Amino acid sequence: MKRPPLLSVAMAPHAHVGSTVAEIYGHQALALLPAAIGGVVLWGLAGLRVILLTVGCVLVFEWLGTRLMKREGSVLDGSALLQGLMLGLLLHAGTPWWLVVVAALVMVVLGRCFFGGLGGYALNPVFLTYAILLVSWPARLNAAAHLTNRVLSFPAVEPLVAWRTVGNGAVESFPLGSLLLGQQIGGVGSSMVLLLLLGGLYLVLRGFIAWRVPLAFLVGMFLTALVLNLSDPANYAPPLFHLFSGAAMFTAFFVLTDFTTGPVNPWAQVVYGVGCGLLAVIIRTFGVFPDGTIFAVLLMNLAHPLIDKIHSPLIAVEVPTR
Amino acid sequence: MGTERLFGFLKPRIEMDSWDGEVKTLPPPDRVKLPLACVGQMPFVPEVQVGAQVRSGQILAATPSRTAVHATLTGEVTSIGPLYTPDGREIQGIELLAADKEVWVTASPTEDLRQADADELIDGLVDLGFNSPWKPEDLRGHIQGDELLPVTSVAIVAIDREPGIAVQRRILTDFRSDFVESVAAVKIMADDAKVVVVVPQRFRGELSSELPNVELMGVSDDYIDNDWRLILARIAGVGNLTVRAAREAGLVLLTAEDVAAAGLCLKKGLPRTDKLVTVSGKGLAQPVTVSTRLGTPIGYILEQLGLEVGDGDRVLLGGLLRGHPQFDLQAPITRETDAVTVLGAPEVYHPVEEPCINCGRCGQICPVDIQVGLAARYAEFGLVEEAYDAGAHACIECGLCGFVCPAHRPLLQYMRSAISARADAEASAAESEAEVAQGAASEE
Repeated sequence: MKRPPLLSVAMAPHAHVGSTVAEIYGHQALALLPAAIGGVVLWGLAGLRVILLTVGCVLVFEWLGTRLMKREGSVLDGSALLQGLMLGLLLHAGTPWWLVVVAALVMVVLGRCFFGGLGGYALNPVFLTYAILLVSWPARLNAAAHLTNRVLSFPAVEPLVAWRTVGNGAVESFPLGSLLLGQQIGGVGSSMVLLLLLGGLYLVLRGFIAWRVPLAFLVGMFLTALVLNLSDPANYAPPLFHLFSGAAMFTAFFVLTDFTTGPVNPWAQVVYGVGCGLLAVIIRTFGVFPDGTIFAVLLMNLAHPLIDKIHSPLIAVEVPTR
Repeated sequence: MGTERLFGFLKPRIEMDSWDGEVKTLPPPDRVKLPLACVGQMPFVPEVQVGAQVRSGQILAATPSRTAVHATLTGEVTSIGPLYTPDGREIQGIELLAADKEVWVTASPTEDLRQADADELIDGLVDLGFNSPWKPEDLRGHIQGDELLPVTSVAIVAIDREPGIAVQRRILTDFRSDFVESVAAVKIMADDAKVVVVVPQRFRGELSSELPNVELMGVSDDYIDNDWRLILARIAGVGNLTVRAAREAGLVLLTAEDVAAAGLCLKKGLPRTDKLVTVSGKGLAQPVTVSTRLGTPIGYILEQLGLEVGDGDRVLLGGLLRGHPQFDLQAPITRETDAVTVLGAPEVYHPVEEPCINCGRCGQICPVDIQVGLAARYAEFGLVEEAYDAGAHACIECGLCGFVCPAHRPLLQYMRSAISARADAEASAAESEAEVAQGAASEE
């Protein structure tokens, strides 16, 4: 007699819409490509070297780390690729190779593995790493100092540094159009404002990131800068200068939208974004580091579980009256 | 099934499909298994012994309130033993082996349901072993628990719970006149109670003239609008409720098929033996709705339709979003079974215990606004109370969270585990409390 078939059993639901984690992170990485290409065009092979070296090191370290954590396979989920690319775009084209390796190691080990890998980290690994580098090797991260042997069509100084050093007078030497086109000293691709915006819009339209977060961040940044600027136009930079300089656009669409370190509830996302924009402008204006966005994000990351308590009420079970 | 969300602003939407084909009546199987337990009812006591010869329609077991299990075949009682419910609980069941010739019990038909009075109908249903919400006066002394609760509203659902099932809505197309007559009978029994008939929106217009005395509720093709629990809540005027709370408040949910079957049985004067089941899956170009005997093994139905099941396939009692997987093709069709779904090994979906990336899609699609991701993570790490507070208690088990989770986490299972762990904890607390009370009483 033929034996009965061995049936597969698992819990409902037995169908799936088809989305995967790799798909989401893959598309986010894809959306960064225009900025990466823009960066390579602007900085040439030096830029390409930093990007490839960062991504390669991150993937290798991630592979080793997940093996040590006995979580093989997660190297394929695309999040390491995305964050490697983000880190690569954030570093400037003159970053020495050993610093790239250290950055990759710090990001994978301290940023990701220590917290339990994807889904576990409390702080955005990319910005955490950059903050650690910024505190440890401030001179090495000074993009302007390492990119001097080039002929540039724009001022060889980071816009935010120029503004903090010289004051509002410096703002005029950075026309908004050229800032938008990424004509500024900064990371390889993190200042490609227009290209990042395009990539971000693609992600929003495809539903791969929550649209409220970047919008709230940009609005928060704009309004805070506007209030400051209106109160004292001579000292405080105009709002669009803030939005188009440094890593603001990069933060809005690629860093703040990281799921694991941000809230999921609609109004919590608005508070999170606006709060981060406000903090970023305040730190930029009154803090020690010119691009305060990084520290604003890390602070908001820490506060996100608390912010996520703002949620729409549950349609709770009620006892009907007879 | 279902679409990815468009432009990130819209939720993925799952639509109820509207295919129809003819209802195919299967020849009686050579054996049936009939469960001797039903949720919310008193236990059945067998009235036959192993080896007894029974006729089709004969009472095999009954509760003190005379709700009965009837033979759906003519033949021999071969065993009374353990049987598994679709969700895997062990209960008692009776197995029958068919004889060559089918003999029915004597019928006592009712001429016209619309002319009958309420007592006649209520008594008739009791005689036929139906568990109707209305009980005759002389039986009330034998009844305990929920069955005694009064009835203030009756919801008759002529909509299916999941996409890919065409059972309840087939009652509106293939058994319309029986259904209309049965609803009239329900209206007679319900007396003052409100009767709401829930139908797909497209049927509402044509039915309003045929069912003039009842309230008609039309629902859209969106899957979640077809959730029976949320429909009960709508009728009760609340956002969400438990089935038990609904019953306590006097709300009764009847399926269109049960109502039509009750009416047909009253007219014929014979107990119910048949069930409509939608069969879909590998090997079938389109789902088929079949009429088969209650207790028919799944394997027999699949064989009749020419479906072959192999190693690694998945066979569900129910649909893709809520169905219970079976490990044995001998599992029987029960009154609650609306569908048998077969998935071939390559299309079987395997949830995995991957970490949550906190993307929030589960909470976004949840029809009762549970913070699913948070609750599931609590449940995953055994924090039952926290999971419960994050909303697990409101879960209607629609399966949408697991359907959209990009990390392929078993989200519905986490919700269910929190609910059942909490129920277990409450039960054991009540038990130990009772023990303490008993101890105190005996000391005195």
